[in-house]
Amino acid sequence: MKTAEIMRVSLTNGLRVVIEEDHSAPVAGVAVHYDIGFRAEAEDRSGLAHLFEHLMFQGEAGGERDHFQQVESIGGFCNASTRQDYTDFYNVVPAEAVARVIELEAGRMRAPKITERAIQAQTSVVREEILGKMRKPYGGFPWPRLSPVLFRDFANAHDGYGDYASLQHVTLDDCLDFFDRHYSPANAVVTITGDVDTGAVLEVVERTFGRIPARPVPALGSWWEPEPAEQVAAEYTDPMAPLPAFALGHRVPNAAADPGAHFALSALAGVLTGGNRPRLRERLRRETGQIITFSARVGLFDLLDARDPDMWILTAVHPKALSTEQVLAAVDAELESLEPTEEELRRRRTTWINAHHRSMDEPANRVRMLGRFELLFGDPGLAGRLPDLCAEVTAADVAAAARSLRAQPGALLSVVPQEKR
Amino acid sequence: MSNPIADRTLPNGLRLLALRHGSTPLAEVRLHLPAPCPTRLDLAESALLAASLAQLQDAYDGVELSAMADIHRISVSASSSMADLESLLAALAQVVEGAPIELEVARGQLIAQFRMVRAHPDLAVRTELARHLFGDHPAAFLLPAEAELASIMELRRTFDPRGAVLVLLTSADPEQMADAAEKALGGWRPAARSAPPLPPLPAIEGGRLALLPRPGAPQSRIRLRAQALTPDDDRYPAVFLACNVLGGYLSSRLSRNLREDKGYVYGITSMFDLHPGSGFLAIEADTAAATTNPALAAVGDELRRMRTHPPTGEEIQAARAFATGSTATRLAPRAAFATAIADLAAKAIDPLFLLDFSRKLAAVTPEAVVAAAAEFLAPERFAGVIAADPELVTQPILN
Repeated sequence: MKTAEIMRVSLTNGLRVVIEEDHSAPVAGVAVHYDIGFRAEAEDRSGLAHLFEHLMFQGEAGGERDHFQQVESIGGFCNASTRQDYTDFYNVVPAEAVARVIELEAGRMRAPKITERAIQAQTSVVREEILGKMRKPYGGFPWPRLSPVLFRDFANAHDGYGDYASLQHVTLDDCLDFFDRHYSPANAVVTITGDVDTGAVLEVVERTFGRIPARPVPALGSWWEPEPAEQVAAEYTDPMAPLPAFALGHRVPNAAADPGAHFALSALAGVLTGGNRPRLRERLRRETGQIITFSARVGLFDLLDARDPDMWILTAVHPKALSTEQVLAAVDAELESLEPTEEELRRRRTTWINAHHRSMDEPANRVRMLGRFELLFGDPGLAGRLPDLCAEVTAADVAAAARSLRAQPGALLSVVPQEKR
Repeated sequence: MSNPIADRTLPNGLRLLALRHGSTPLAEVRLHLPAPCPTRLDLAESALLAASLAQLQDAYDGVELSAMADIHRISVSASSSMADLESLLAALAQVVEGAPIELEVARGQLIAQFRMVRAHPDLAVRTELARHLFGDHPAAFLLPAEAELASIMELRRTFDPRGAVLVLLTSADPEQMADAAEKALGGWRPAARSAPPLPPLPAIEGGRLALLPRPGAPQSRIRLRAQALTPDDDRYPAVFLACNVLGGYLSSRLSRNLREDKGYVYGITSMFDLHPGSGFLAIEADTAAATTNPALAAVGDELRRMRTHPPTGEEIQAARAFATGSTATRLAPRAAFATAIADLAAKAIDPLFLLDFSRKLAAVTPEAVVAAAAEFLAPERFAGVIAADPELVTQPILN
């Protein structure tokens, strides 16, 4: 297995650069993480971070072809995502094209092509994207529907996907201002991984990104808010859902301070809902003869993917023959008494570590994980230590994590299927 | 990059492909098992069997194993660390020899899982599309019904090494890997009689566009197919590039027009839809109710333009660069490469096709792409289903 060294450096304009060589395949990954997620949006511009992500694909001002065309014509692919605390843009290209794609990313960081026409078209595209994601059974479940149940503050509670009503009023000035404030080099991390020479790509980075003038960086906001004093419950009707469902959301410790706690919660999620004999499904099958589909995870989108606050989520889809209360009682009983066996823990660990290796074998996942760990935690090497963190979790840690969730009220979101007439 | 490879057919008929690929610590294995399903009950049995196979991993520490079924095959995916490779191969031997399984557990899970799949509006559209194009061919079965799953009392299917393909990707020497696999699976005995493959799919008759009425639906689904050809046809690489120019990627004509210019769609794509013995071209997009008719008209326009404004040299070069680059970037992960090879076996195409595809793309002339575009992407060749509000779309047309 490779023991790649990661190089970290900051340019004079404040841009952070992360480079990791990996010569196992003739490809390279280039990612740019901007320290602007949907939590930092203004109340009347809900969805602007996501819309702006779309607009960045117009590429550099003055260019004839947009970013997709440029990257695809050199044989690569590219995409982007908008999360709570960052927006990331990533490209995977044949290794010989790495310099070109670095130039393209620097070009759109320096001066993106933002036009009224693109704002209009991309607002429609975002509307289509949201329609596709929301207009299906359990669309928007648990995210973004669970966030406003667990959280009170707009930053944490609002729908970061984008609110078509508010996006319709986004102006060119809004976008230029958004770019100016959040897309400065000192507010970003550039990550390059794969079949590259560190010195050579660093030279390209300095020649391209290095020429972008420094701009001030907005102060890092704190999104912390008090935990709910008692359980907050909400429900909604999903006309397409075939069965009732619910999601439980619980606040988790700050990932930056205690990544190990997130692994204990992740192992708990695995023991409760993963593998061939997940505890929750087996308990309810034993007690009621019914099959319930559970899933659980740490992190609204992914493990170690956001600053504080973030959540642990459990979802259940259950037959109408069982009430939400019956299923919740079983979850509570399991959390109260859970003592995982060594074998159980070992199996969940194997599953997690194998999934991690499989994920890191994908150039896009690797470059994005290194970049987000630099941006969120100043520690891209964390990616390589995850299997160890996973292996360090003990049965006692998992039991303690289960009790900690019980002690904390959290949020309950119920999905009511519409009775067919 | 050339992939050192061991390619053996064992005396029992099993084909073994061992490849060295990448440097991740996991061994990735795919096992293609022919399992033709001429009836709906056969498919229900295959689905139950595939769902049950995951139970096997309990007995093999460090091994992860799952399986899926369609009307042609059961496809097993398994992985482990290199240290557990022997266990992994032993688990596969258990799969092919038939293992004791708890049918009820798998049945309960499968019924719960299919209830969710069935609730998704896309399933009704796919079902209608298959029925519309293929009539009573098993390709129209898609998903077993609950009553069918409930009626299976025992699993009778046995696997035959003849026609089966084992794909094994590691960082280790392929010949040694093939030896290990041969040792584990060489004793697999051929079945007394092997099930005949399913009849070929009927040819698609162009022009037949059906409306699947969805009163009040806020979003419409466009699903089109046209008769094309299979990868063993010499013209396949040219049609592949023409298809990419039309809608194979974000730089394509369909994406430029319907997404970047008009904002009608989040995604629109044209691609090959391959089945054993048949190859179709597919165009798929979802769009808001109000933009359904203009989006359909725009698709029709773009298909016509493939003839009136044939792919330019620049477009062909970009499509070729993307296709060639994608074979490097998309197939860099070991798991993706293993799956791609096994998928070809599942479509009755020699898996080694994949290793040679970039060279074939490089040899295609612009004239061949222009000719392929004119012949295969003509709007009158397409048939399909539009799921939409009947108030807005009465008679779906492309041309």
